[in-house]
Order: sequence, then C-alpha cells, then structure tokens
Amino acid sequence: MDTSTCLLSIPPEIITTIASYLPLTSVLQLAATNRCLRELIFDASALWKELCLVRECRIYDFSDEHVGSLIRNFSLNACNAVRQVDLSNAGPNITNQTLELILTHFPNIHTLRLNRCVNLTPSSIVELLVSLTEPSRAPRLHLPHLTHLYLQDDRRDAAHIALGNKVTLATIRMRLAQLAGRPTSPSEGDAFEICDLELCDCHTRTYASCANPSVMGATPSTAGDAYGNIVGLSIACACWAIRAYSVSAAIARQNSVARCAGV
Amino acid sequence: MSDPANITLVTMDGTTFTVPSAYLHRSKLVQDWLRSEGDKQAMEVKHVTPFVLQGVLNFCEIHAEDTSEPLADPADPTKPFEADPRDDAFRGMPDDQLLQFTMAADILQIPELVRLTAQEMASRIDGKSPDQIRAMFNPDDLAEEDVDSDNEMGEVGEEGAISK
Repeated sequence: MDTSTCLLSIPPEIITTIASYLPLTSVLQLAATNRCLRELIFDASALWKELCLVRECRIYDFSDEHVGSLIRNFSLNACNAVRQVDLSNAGPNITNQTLELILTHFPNIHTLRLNRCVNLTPSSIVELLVSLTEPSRAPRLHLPHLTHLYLQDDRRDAAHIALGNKVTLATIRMRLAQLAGRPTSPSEGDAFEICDLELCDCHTRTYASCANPSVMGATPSTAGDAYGNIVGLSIACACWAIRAYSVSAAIARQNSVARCAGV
Repeated sequence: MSDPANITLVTMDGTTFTVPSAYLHRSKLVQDWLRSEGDKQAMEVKHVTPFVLQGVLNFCEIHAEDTSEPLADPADPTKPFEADPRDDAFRGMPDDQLLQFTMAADILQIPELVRLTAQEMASRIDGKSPDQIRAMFNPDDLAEEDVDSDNEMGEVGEEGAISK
C-alpha cells in the first residue's frame, strides 16, 4: 500500500460509508472538495433516500435557488433513490418552483413534507398540479409511489392557516391521485387520502392545519393557552369558533370542578 | 500443509505474521481463502504494510471473542454503534494512517473495522471546510482545480447560511 494514501484511493463504497455517518452539511462540504468526490457523492443512492434539508442543515432561509442548485447536482441514480423530501420550516422563499423541481426530478418519491412553507398555498399547489397533469404534457409525469403530501401547520392562528375551499381540496387530491396513477374519484375505488388538507366542520373551507387541533379534538386541557384563552381560531371559520367556545367552556368547567375538589 | 489452527499472512514487503485463525473469523477475505486455499503455506496481503497489518491483527485479537453478530453492512443505520475503549488506538492516529487502516479493513473485508475507521474518518471530516478536508487528506491529489469553477451547489457557510 502506498504510504501517502489519498482519500480518492479508497473504494467508492467506503467513501459512501464515511459520508453516511456525516450530517448533510458536512456531506456537501466533502462533495465540494473535489470533482471526483462530488460526482461520487451525488451518485451514491444510499445517501439520498431521505432528504431532510432544514432539519439536517439547521438553515431556516432556504430558497428555490438553493434547493435547485442542490438537486441539479444529483445523478439519475441519486434522483431515483429519493423516497422522502422534508422541506418543513424552509421559510417563505420556497415556492411552486421547488415543488415542481421535486415532483419532476424524483420519480420514486413517496413522502413530501412542506409544512410551514407559507408561500405554498393550496391554490398555488392546485395551479402547479393542473399544469403537471395536463394531457398535452410530454413526457407524462408519473409518480406511482407518492402517498403523502404534508402541508399542515401546527401554529393555528389566523396568519398560519392556509385557506382554501372544498373545490381546492378536491382538485389537489384528484391531481395527486392522477400523478400516482390511482383512482381519482371515490366511485372508482377507495378514497385516496394523499394530502393532509382538511375541511372544517361545516364543510365550507379547507385548511392546511393540524389534523387534530385542540378545538377539533377532545382534549380540553390543550385547547387554550395558560390563561384559558383560545388562540385565533375563531378567525378561520365560524364553525371552529363554536367548537372553540365549547372547549373553552369545558376547560372552565374542569377547572371549577378541580377547585371544588381542592386539587 | 499449514497448521489449521494458525494462519500466516505475508505483507507487501515479505514480512510474515502468524496468528491464530480464530482471530480472523470476521475477515471474509481470510475465511474465503481458508476454504479455497487453506492448504497453502501463507496468504499474501499484497497491498498492506507490516505496520498496518500489525494494527489490523491487534484489532482482530482484541475482538476475537466478541459475541456480537457479524456485521453485514458497515453503514447499516439500524445497527447501533457505541465507541469501544479498546479501539482508542484508532482514534488517536494521524489522518494518513487512519486512511491506510480504512483501506486495509476493506481489503481484508472486516466490516466491523470498516465501520470503526469510517466513523472515525467521518468525525474528523464533520464540520470541516473543503479547504480543511483537502489539507487533511493528501492535498496534492485533492486539487482544488478539480472542482468546477461554476459549481452551482453553493457552500454551506459556517454561520449556517448557504452562500453562493
């Protein structure tokens, strides 16, 4: 063995093993040292099955350009390996451009997390999905493994609930099902729940909000803040305000009973 | 015919090491050789220096009686890995030696040693800039000019922001 061993003299699979123990930021630094390493790393399918950008990089101001410049380094092999992409909390600079890039580059993706990407609204997603599923589009986009699109935001105040309507929700579900090659209406098979958007109680508005917000669940102790106030929920929809009131009353009753019992 | 209880290994410069065969039960290369050519006097390990082979054999001796299941994939994320104080010698060695041990572990196909050296390499690379990584591992061969001048990937700055 040559005693002046270089990193590049290690077999590619060992370099991939080393990279598999690194956080994403360090993988990118390693890739930036040398063209051979860069090509090797961006071709290593084992490294790119899960792409959790914000969590792993601890960066909160991603933009479409950042995501694009990263994805464009991927080889076909690496693109095919991607199963999950998590861009939650990536900030306001993530738009439809990133969503389109992800959907068109990763044919085997099954889960896409875009929670708290405030500029990805239900209506803008509809716009993109409609264009991606145009019959005239060539080649036709097919994502047979796509099963989950997460858009929920656990901050349930007026500024963070993405509003839509029943048609928006139906369109998103139908177009996603179309991309995945699944039945697009309940009559053709089981209802296809691919997206976590939900309808409010009175079925008039759609929300990219938490599936079990306190006002919709039955856990009164978590429904309000420390002072028993309900935070901003009544603004989203009148039916939620009624629920909020009911839960608030339940908390008050519970506190009253606790006080009487001397707890 | 050689003693079946022992195995003799010959390094690139002809130095021989005779050790109990049981020490090398995790080496796939050695096990394959014992099955197919075990009647020969010695096994040649052409690309390994005596110093490195001695270190590998020390590792094998220390772990000879470990009862853990053989590791199939050194990068298997489902297999928990805890630092073993018996392996501290690998943590203190210079970068170029660690690189040689990584290669020797791969040549002898000892997944446990590959995992150990790969993790140690990763811990040394983690948090380093591309320039620092080049300086660590034979900078002549990791020339900067090999990197595309129009690298669009962008570097992740130390402050946590991506800089273009």
